[in-house]
Order: sequence, then C-alpha cells, then structure tokens
Amino acid sequence: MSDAGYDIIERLIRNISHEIKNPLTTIRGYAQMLGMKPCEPDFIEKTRKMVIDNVDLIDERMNALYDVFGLEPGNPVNTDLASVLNAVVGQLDPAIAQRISLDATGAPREVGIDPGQLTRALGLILNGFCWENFPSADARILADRSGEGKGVAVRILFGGVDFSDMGSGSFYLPFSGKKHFRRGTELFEVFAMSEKNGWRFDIASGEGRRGFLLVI
Amino acid sequence: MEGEHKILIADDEAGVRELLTDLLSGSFNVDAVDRGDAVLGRLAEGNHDILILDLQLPGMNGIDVLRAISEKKTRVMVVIITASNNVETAITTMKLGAYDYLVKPFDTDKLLVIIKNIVEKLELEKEVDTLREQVGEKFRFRNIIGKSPSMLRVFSTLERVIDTDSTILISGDSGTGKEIIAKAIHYNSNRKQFPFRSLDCSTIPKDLIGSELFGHEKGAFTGAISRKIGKFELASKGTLFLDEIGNLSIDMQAKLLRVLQEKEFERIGGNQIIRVNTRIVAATNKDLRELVQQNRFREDLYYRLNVVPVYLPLLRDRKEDMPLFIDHFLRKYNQEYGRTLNIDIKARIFLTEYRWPGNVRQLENVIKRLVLLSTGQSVDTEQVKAILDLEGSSVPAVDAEAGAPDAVDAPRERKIVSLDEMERDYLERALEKFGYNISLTAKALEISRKTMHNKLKKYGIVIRKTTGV
Repeated sequence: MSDAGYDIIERLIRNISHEIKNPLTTIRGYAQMLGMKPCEPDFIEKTRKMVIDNVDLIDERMNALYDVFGLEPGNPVNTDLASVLNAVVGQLDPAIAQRISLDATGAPREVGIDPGQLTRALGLILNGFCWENFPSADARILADRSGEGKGVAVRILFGGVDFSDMGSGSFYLPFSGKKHFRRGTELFEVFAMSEKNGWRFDIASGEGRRGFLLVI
Repeated sequence: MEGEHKILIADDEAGVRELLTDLLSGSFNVDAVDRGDAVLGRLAEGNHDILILDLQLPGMNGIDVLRAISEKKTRVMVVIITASNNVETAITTMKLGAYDYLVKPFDTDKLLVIIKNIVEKLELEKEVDTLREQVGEKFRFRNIIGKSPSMLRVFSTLERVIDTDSTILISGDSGTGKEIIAKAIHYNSNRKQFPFRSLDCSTIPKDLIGSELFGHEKGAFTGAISRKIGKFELASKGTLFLDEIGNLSIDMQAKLLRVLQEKEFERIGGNQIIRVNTRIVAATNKDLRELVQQNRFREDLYYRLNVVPVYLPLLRDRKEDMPLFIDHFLRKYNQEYGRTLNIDIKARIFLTEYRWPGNVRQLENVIKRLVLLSTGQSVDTEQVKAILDLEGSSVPAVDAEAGAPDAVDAPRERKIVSLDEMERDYLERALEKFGYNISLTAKALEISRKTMHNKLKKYGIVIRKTTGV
C-alpha cells in the first residue's frame, strides 16, 4: 500500500476513534461517578439513561458508516437536471432554501443519471450542512458543461464559510467535516455514491466561495 | 471555597458537557458552550477561573481558542480534553499555556485531581495578589509623604514615565527614600503584578555581584553547587532596583550596559541566551557625572541610566513635609508599641528646624526611640535633644526657643583610649541621659537588662537615682 493509502487509513481511524471516544468518555465518567458517593435514585436513573444514549450514539455512528458500504450503483435515465436541482432546494427547510441561489443555464436540459441518487447526494450536502452554526452562510448551485470531457459539473459553493481546515485530498473521510456537517458522514456517503456511479466528487472554489464539485 | 470558582466547559459533544456539568456543579459554578467561537465571549462576560476545552470544536478550534486566550492574556487556567493522543498537539497546547491535557475517555478522578491542583494554585495566586496589593498600596504615590514643591515635581516627573520602560536614575543623599521611590515606581506601573527585586551594589562583594545580577550555572566556579537565577531574570517583566550604582566595578558596568542595550545575557558559566524585559531603576548618593570625569563610571552607561533623572531633596530642604513625617512616624510607632505619645509644639518646631544629616531615616529612628523610651504622654524639646545627643549626632538644630542656630560643633580632639574605657564612658553618658533608669538605658543601647547589669558590675558603675526621660 502506498504512503498516501496509509495516511488515509490513519486519518480515517483517527476520525472514527475521535467519534467513539466522546461517548465512551461520557459512559466511563458516569460509571465512575456512581462509585464516588451515595447516589440518589434520580441520579442512578440519569446515569442509566446516559449510558444507554451514548451506547446508541456509538451504534448510530457505526451504522452510518456501514450504510455507506451497502450502496448500489443507480439506474441512469434521461433526467431534467434543472427540475432535480429545483426539487432538491424545494425539499429544504424554507429558511435554508431562501439562502440558496441556483443557476443551471449553462447545463444541458437532460442528463443520463439516477435522479434519486443525485437528489440524495445534493440533499446530503445541503441538508447535512449545519446552517444554524453559520448564520452568515449562503450557497450557490451552479450547473454547466465545464466538467471533464465537457461532462456536466454541479458546484455547490458556500459563502461565509471557511472550509480550509478540511484539507483537499481526503476531505470526504468520515467525520473530517464534522465542524460543518451534522453527522460527519454526509460527504463520505456522497463520495461513495460517486465511486459507485462513476462521478467525480471534489473540493471546488469559484466566485470567491468554497464548496464541492460533482461531475456527473 | 471551591464554589466561588467558575468553570467553563467547551465541548461540542452534549454527553461530555452533561457529564462534566454533573461531575463539577456540586463544587463549582459551572457553565458550558458547544462552540469554539463562543468561548472567548463567554470568558469575557463570565470571569471564569478554569476552562475545560475540547480541541475539535465547530466555529473555532481549541488551539485557536487557546492562542487567542494567550494573546489576550485572559486569566483562565485551561485543561485540554481531546480524543487525540497526538504528542505534537499536546506540546503545542502546553506551549500555548494550557495547564494540563487529558485524552478521552479520561479518568474523572484524574480530572478532579487536576481541578483541585488548579484551585490550590488559584488560592495561592489570590493570596499573593492580595499581599502584593497591600504592599503596592503602601507605595502608591498618594501614600508617600511629599507635599513640598520639590517632591511634587518628583511625583509629576514619575507619573509621566511610569508606564514606559524608561530607565530611571534616582539620586539623593543617604536616607532620602530612594528605595521607597523605586518601589513606588514599580507598584504604580503596569509592571506591578510582576516581581520587584533590589540589589545594593555597595554591600555585595565584587566577586559575587555578577552572580547576583545574572545568575550562574552549576559548576561555573568553585562553590557554585547548583544553578542560581540572577536578579535580572527574577525581575523579568518587573523592575530591578540597583542601589548605589556608583559602586559597581568597571567590569560589571560593561556587562550591565550590554544587558541594557541587548536585553539579553548569559548566566555565568552558561551558554544559553536569556532574554529579559526588566525595567531598571538605579540609585546613587554620589555624583555620577563626577565619577565619569574621574573615569570611575562609564559615560555610555551613565547616559543609558540617566534617561529619566530624579533628584530626591534633603529632608531639611522640604520643611513643608516635616509635620507630615512627624505625625506619620508617631502614628506608626504608637500603634506598633501600643502607646499614645504626643510631641509638644516646641519639640515639633525643634524637629522641623533640625538639620537631619541622616534625612528621613534618621527622623524615623529618633521618633521610634522617643516612642519607645519616653515614659510620659508628651515629649518636649529636651527629650528630643537627649535622644539626638544619644545618637551622637554632631549637627545641631536651630534653637527653637532662641530662634537662632547653634554653631556647628568643631570636631572634638580626643585622646586615644581603650575600648573598655570608651564603653564605660558611653555607658555613663547613656545612664545619665536616661536618669539612671537601667531598663530604659538598656533598651536605648539595644542590650538586655542582664547584659546591662554585667557591664555595670564590670565597670563598677554605681546607680545613683532612677527617673524617667
């Protein structure tokens, strides 16, 4: 395996370990507190709940990772790209939707793609993003023919957000983008979907913004 | 005690925030945030003593939070909690001033021990701050006696340069209060929370002064059994008072000049460059310009020290301050010895008109002795004269009653006598001054009653009468 491969695995393990160690801290801490002093029944009940909740949290995080590996390639059909993009924005919370602008004038009208998987990929990015943590953030979706071999490029470019600490090579690794995305596995799922469907998923920039590129 | 301390928890994981809140809220005032960029604002408004900081935080990562805390000099003790056991990260955080570093999932007992140690440190710091404040208060300009125009000029000069790093050269006769002014400069400046150190260049042997100033490494010279930190280093960020700077050897003057210019030095026997930011206040009772002309003081060092010159006047040249000094020392020693002694008006005039060759220090000693030795409620001129005479001062006062100054005593021609003869003569004079009261005479001579009796026996002195001063 190449050094780059080892680096990716190391980063992956570090990220996952970080996500597991947090709930483990909570479980261990409450277990230790039980032994510190005579506990009230309410505290024992709370401890029980905290232990269960945090075990569930570990389980949820591991399941999110497993789910990614169960993805199947989509069934491409001629799809109206603008309608898909509009539908994705339309499904968002209206407060978020109004912070997003869309420009698909440079894109072909129809694209051979699985509309369900494209909708899910774009939804993972737009829905997974922690809008509430970035009050000044907005997003611009640009679709045109600037992809490799004049393929269709869909860029989701965020304004008012600094993605620089995500790196570029393995930005999609699980929990790498946890500062910006709710679960931290959203970008990895888009990456896995891209691998299955022959798309390209990458970091992108333009118009003074930074975000993500899907070449479909 | 612990309940007074406030802890801020910064972790994006709800479970960890809840755990730490439950763990600590019984003993501390606990507050929590889930974002890095909320930490600084919360610290600013909350006056927290301890911050438990996760490194992976949205908004602003923990390292950046720590860096900002360090840059803003926010007074908070930081404990890092992180899932990463990366050594480099740990070193970085410690370099940025973190108190400790725990890797998740950590032992809560360990965290409690760390918090306990921090609390002890905070309590000690608080105590030091209080003591420093008390010492500082004593040296506030407003608490330094000086209403005379010459002293007001001194204060005015100092207030203009107090918060700068300018070197200050205080000149004035012995006993005019040079060290008090040096301390006032320190405790009124923005360096007051850092150390004040002083070194009397006239009392330290020439061979040791380098070690006192710059420190030495173990084995640097015979007798250097361990590393010694010098005054320059101890007073870094604070003030170093170099008293009697005129007594510094030419060699040492060159070394001092280098530190003043470069702000760095090496300990004796060491090769590590030590950078310091120490303000120098120097003092002298000599005319440094004259020493420069005699090639006994480096001219370049003189100009480097004399950036802000301050001259402290003789006590006899600041008569406006005499009543204040008399009342101040009377109050101080009445309080110290549980007395309610007063000084009558004629004695006060006498004290004011006296020449005070030993300046404020001499006045203080005289009043201390008056309080200690007087048996009545009020002191008159004769009693003051008796104390001054006992001191052996040969510089007389203006005669308060006659209103004319006494002539200055000519140096007495004395034959050479044995020490025993001299002691016997001195004892007899002292006994006479104190009405042959053995206790008072012993006190004045600062010997025990038993020693006094032994000396009386030795010299065959017979006590004739006993009266008060």
